[in-house]
Amino acid sequence: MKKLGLGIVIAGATVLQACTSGNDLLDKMNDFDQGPMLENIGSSIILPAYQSLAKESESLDVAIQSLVSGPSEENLIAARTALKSTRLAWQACTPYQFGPAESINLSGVLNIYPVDTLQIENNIESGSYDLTTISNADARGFQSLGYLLYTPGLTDAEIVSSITANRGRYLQDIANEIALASATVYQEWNVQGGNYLAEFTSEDAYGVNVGSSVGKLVNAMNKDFERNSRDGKIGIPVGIRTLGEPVFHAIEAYYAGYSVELLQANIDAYHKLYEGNDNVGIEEYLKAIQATTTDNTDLSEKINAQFSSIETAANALSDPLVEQIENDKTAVELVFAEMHRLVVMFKTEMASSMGVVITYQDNDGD
Amino acid sequence: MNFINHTMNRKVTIAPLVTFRILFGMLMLASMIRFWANGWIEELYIEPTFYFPFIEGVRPFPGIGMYVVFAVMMLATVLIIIGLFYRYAISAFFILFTYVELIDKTNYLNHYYFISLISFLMIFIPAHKAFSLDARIKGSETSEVPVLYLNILRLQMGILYFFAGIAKINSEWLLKAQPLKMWLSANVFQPIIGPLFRYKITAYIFSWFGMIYDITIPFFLSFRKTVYTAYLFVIGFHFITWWMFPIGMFPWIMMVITTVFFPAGFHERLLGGLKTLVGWNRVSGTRVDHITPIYKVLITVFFFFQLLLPMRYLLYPGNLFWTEQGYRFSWRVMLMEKAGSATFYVRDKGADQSILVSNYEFLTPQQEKMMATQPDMIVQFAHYLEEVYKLKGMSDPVVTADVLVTLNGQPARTFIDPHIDLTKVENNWKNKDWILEYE
Repeated sequence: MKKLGLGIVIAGATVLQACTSGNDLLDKMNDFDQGPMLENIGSSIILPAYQSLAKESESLDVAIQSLVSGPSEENLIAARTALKSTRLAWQACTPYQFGPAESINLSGVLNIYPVDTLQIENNIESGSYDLTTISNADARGFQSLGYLLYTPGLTDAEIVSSITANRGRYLQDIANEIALASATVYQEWNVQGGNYLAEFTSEDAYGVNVGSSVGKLVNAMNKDFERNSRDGKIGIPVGIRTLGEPVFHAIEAYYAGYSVELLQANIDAYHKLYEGNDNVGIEEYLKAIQATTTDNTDLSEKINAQFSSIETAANALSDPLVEQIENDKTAVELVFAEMHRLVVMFKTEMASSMGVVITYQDNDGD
Repeated sequence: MNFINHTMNRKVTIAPLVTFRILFGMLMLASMIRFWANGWIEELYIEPTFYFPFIEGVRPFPGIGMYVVFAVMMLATVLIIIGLFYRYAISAFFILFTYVELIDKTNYLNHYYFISLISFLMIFIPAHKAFSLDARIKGSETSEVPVLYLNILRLQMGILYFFAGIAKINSEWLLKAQPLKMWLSANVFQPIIGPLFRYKITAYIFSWFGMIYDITIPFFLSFRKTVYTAYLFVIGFHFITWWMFPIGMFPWIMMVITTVFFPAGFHERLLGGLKTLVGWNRVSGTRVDHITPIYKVLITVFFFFQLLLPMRYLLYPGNLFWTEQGYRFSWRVMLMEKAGSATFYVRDKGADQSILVSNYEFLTPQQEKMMATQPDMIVQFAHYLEEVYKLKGMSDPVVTADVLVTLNGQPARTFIDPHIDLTKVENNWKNKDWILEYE
C-alpha cells in the first residue's frame, strides 16, 4: 500500500511537473513569519493607540472637573478641546475591539450614538441613575458629553450657566467612566500591567484559527469597519437603511459637528494597521502569501488602492456632515460605496487567502 | 448466489456490532456534551432570529425546548451504550439528531449527515442482542448474526471515503493543489512539520496523498491482510486533519468506528475484557438471528440512492464548486475554499430608492458567511427580507443582491445576476440559471 501510494505520488508529481511547465515545485510559497508582524502591530500601533486614549481620557476627565468646579466659557472651550482629542484618540483604537477592550465593552462605554437626550435629561433631573444599566446604555459616552457641552439652542454662556449641581455631576460621572474604561484597557495591554501584549504576540497565538491573534485581529477589524466605520459613520446617516432619506441625528459627533474629521482619523487608523505603520503589516503578509493563491497576485495592491480611493472620497467631504449631506449627498454616498468595496475585499479575498474564517465564533467546519 | 451468501447471509459473531453500538453511543454522548458545553445550543438554535431550514417549516423549539431535545438525545446515547430499550433509543436519537440538522443549512457538515445515516441503519441492526440490558431482560443473547448487518456499516463508511476521494479528482485539487496551498500555508506556524508547509511541493503531496488515501482506504480496510496497516494510515490521516483544521469530533469518530473493519477476534477480545471489567454474567439462552428478504431489498434500495446522490450534480450545467447544485450530501469534505460577501437591496416595486440591508441585523456571522456562497440560502434570506419589509410597510418588495465570491484563492467575481428579483425565484430542483457562469 505504501509503495503503491508513493509510486502514484511520484508519478503524479512527474506529470505535474510536465503539466505546470514550471520547475518551481520545490519553491517556497509562504516565507512569512507572523511573529514580527504581531510584535510590530502590537507594540508600535495598538499599545500606543490605547496609551494615547488613556492619556487623553484622563485629560478630559480633568478638564470636565475644572469646568464643573469653575464654570466659565474658557473652561467650556478647554473641555470641548479635550473631548475632541479623546475622540480622535479613540478613532485609532476602533480596529482593536478584542481581548481587554471586548471584555469590558469599551466601544459601548465610549462611543454609543445616537444618544437618548431625553434619558440624559431625566437622569440629570432625578439625580439617581446607574450608568452601567441597559436603560442608560445610550445616555453615556462621548456623545452624551457632546450633547451637554454643545447643547443645541443654547449659547456658550447659557451652557456654562446651565451647569447645575446635578448636571455637573452627570458630566463628571460620564467623563469618569470614560477615563476608567480607557485606563483599564491600556493597563491590560501594558507590559507593566496585564501584559496582554505578550499574549497577543506569543507563539501560542500564531496561526489563523479562532483563538489566534491574526484570527482575532482580522475578525475584529472586519466587524468594526463594516458596522461602525462604514454603516455607523456614513451609511446610516446618509440613508442606506431609510430609502435614501438622511438620518441626521444618527451622525457621530452630531452636536460637536466634527464627524468628517473623526471619519478621516478612523480611516487613517485602518490604513496604518494595513501598512503596519510602514513596517510589517497586513500588506506585507498578503504579499508574502500571494503565491499560495491562484491569480490573486495583486491583492495587496488592490487593497492599498482601495484605501486611496476611500481617502480621496473622504477628503472631499467637509464638516459638519449634516451640511455636507444637505449640499452634496452624492459625495457622501461615494465614500460609503468605496468603504463598502473595502469591506467586500476584507471578507472575501483577504480573509480567504489568509485562511481566516470570519465568524467571530468558534465552530466546526468540514 | 454465492456472492449474496458471502456478503449477506453468512453467519458471523455478533461481537463487532456490539462494540460498534457501545463505541458509537459513547462518541455521540461525548459529542453532545461538547456541543452543550461550547454553548452551541444557545448560539446556533436559540439566538438566531432567522434560520435556513432544509425543509420549510422545520424550526427550533422555543424556550428551553432545544435543551430538552439535546437532553433526550444524551439519554438515548446512554441507553444505546448499555443496550436498554435499544430500538426506541436509537430511533429517538436518529429522529432528533436529523431534526436538529434540518433546522439550519448553516450548520450542515458531512459528518452530521453521516451520523444521521449510521443511526438510521442502526435502527434495524440487532446490536443490542448481546452484552446488553435488553438481552438480560429477555433472558437470551444472540451469538451469531448474518454478515449483512456488519457489511452495511462497512459499506456506509466505504462510500464516505470513496466518494470523498473521487471528489478530489479535479484539476484544482490535483494540478493546482488548491485549496491545500492556502490551508497548509495557514499552518506554517505549527511546531515540527509546520516549516514543510511553506513549500509548494508539500501541498501537492498532501493533495495527491489525500485523494489516493480516500479512494483506496475502504479496500485496504476490507482485506484481512492489510486491515491493520491501513488502520495506521487512518489514525495518521485523521490525526493530521484534526491537528490542522477546526473539524471538531469528526476525526475521532472516524478513528474509533473504523474498528468495525477489524476481524471478529479483535472484537471478542475487546468485549471479553469489557465484560470482565463490569462483571458481566453470561445470559444462559443463545440464539441466531436471521434477516428477511424484504430487509435485503430495502437495504439495497437505500444504498442504490447513496450511490446516486453524489452523482446528481451531473444533471446540472456549470461548475459544481461555483454553483453548488448537488454539492451537499455527496461526501465533498474539505474540498474548496470559498468566501463571499452578499449585499442585499430592497425597494418597493416602482420606487427608485432602495434600502441596503445590513445582514448582521438579521443573521449571525456564521449564517452570513455560509449564505454568501450558497445560492439556495441567498434565496431563503431574500424571501425572509421580503416578509420583513412587507411588515415594515412595503407593498411589493423587490430584493436584489450584489454577491461577490472568491473560490480557491481566485479574485472575487460576481456570483449571481445582480438584477434578478430574488423574491420571484423559488428554490427547487431546477437549474438556477441566475447564477452567473464561472468562467
